[in-house]
Amino acid sequence: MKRPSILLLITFLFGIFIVLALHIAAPKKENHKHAGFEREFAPEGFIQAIDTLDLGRHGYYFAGVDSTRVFLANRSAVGYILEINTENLQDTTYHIIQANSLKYKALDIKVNPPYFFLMDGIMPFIYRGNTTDWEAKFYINNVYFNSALPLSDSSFALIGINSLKSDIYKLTHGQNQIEKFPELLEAQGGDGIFSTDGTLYYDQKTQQLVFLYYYRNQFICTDTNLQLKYRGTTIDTISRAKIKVDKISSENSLTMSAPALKVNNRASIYNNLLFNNSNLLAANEDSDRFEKASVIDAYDLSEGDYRYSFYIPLHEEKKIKAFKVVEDHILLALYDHDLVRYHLHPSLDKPSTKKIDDQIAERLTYMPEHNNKFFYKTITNNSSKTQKYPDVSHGG
Amino acid sequence: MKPILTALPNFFRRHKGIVIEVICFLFILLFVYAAVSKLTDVQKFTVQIGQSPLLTNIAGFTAWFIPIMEILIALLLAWPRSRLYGLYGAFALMVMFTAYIIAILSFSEHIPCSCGGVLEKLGWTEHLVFNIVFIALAAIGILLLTPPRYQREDLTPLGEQGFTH
Repeated sequence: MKRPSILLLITFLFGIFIVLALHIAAPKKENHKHAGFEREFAPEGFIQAIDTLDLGRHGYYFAGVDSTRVFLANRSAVGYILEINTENLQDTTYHIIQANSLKYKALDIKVNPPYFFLMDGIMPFIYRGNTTDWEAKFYINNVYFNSALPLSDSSFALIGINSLKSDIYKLTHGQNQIEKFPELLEAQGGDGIFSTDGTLYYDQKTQQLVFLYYYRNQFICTDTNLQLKYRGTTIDTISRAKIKVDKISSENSLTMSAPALKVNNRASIYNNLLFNNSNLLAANEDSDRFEKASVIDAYDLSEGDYRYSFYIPLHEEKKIKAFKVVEDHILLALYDHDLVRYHLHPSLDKPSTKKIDDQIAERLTYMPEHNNKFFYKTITNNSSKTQKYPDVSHGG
Repeated sequence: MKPILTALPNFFRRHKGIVIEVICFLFILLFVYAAVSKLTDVQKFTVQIGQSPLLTNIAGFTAWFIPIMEILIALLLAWPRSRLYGLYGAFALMVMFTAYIIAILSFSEHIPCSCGGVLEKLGWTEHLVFNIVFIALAAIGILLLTPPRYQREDLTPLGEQGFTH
């Protein structure tokens, strides 16, 4: 019998070793293994941080935007709305939502000036109020949903589940029936819930609704009446959801029984462009660079053509939690407790056939005053790179 | 007043018998409870640990192996002659659980949980503290249970083992 301290140490190391072995043997970086596609990157300096605002706490999400303001709601401080001027990230206002003894289970707040909506698909209810007095009044009940997105002052696109399949619905205030569009979402592999999971995005400016699948390389573009315009594909190769779904019999519930391969994390649409934060590494990307940023692929929503990609950098070593393109060339990114305003260089707005010198001259005139110097430097440094651009982008 | 660092070991040594009984009892309670809550719904447990990136490939095996190990260790702890082996097993298992928690918290993008029963309600930090307390308990039990003459190697007659209690 050896000294107990030595035996303890050996036992301790043995325990650590087992877990270490598990960790080493575990399937690695599934999102790095499907790099059968390439990205066309915007030139260096395409995205530039302008301002940072410390929000002071975690849990914020984008509730809505208008031309000059962004509204953030908070998952832990429910009922508070933080309004921020997107032109300087400085004028901030707290609003407290008034709602009489509201009981909720899965409350989501969306702001669509001049109205805001409190939506809970489990209770279920939708409350509406206006953004001058922030008083929420009962609006719609009896419609269950997973997620809801206001399309106008009185209509919503919903994702609901009907006989074990997710579907997109349209709900209009004052109409007795919801309109169902069961042909929009397509189930895969005998599962209609997880394989069809994704997020709805709406672009006020071009009145287009986009549904982006999480687990496959597809998005669906419709008009406000949910009439299909086309089905687009993202540039990666995952056309079939790589998920494994099992039933827990004792709880009569369905759940995923293996880590799923997520294709599309989150997106934002603005003015006919879809900005998609993909989860998959491309063949022409450096994996370290990819891990230390959030890659965004831009698509032209007219026909769903891929345009270009860029990275939203880390902020204080953290990746973005959410992002939103709020006006031409302005991208807001939410990190742990910071909001960062980025400027996107206008050079890639429209594919052009002009000579490169003319393009540079034109771009210089586009530039916002305070960034003149920086962009001038960037462009001269990268003029050879920018030259490639007209070939990359498709007619828009 | 004695400093706590020397007071605490002295307390443990003075009440050695009862301290060991309490430690073993706590471990038996923990392991039997955890094992039974896993085994009563192995299918659910299998699905849940399948969600873990570290265990997804061996979920079927682990779902049976872990509760069986827990019961075996509980049995070893229940028998005074095999208690020391039981405590080493408990120590190893708790180290593994804790290392697993740390690994999953620091290397995994999404974090599933599949502890049995009420332990499911613990947050990850509470879970970590809980585990570390149990690791410490196992270590204390081992140190107390090892006969004093074996505590120093230079005094130990080699090849002799005894677990008189």
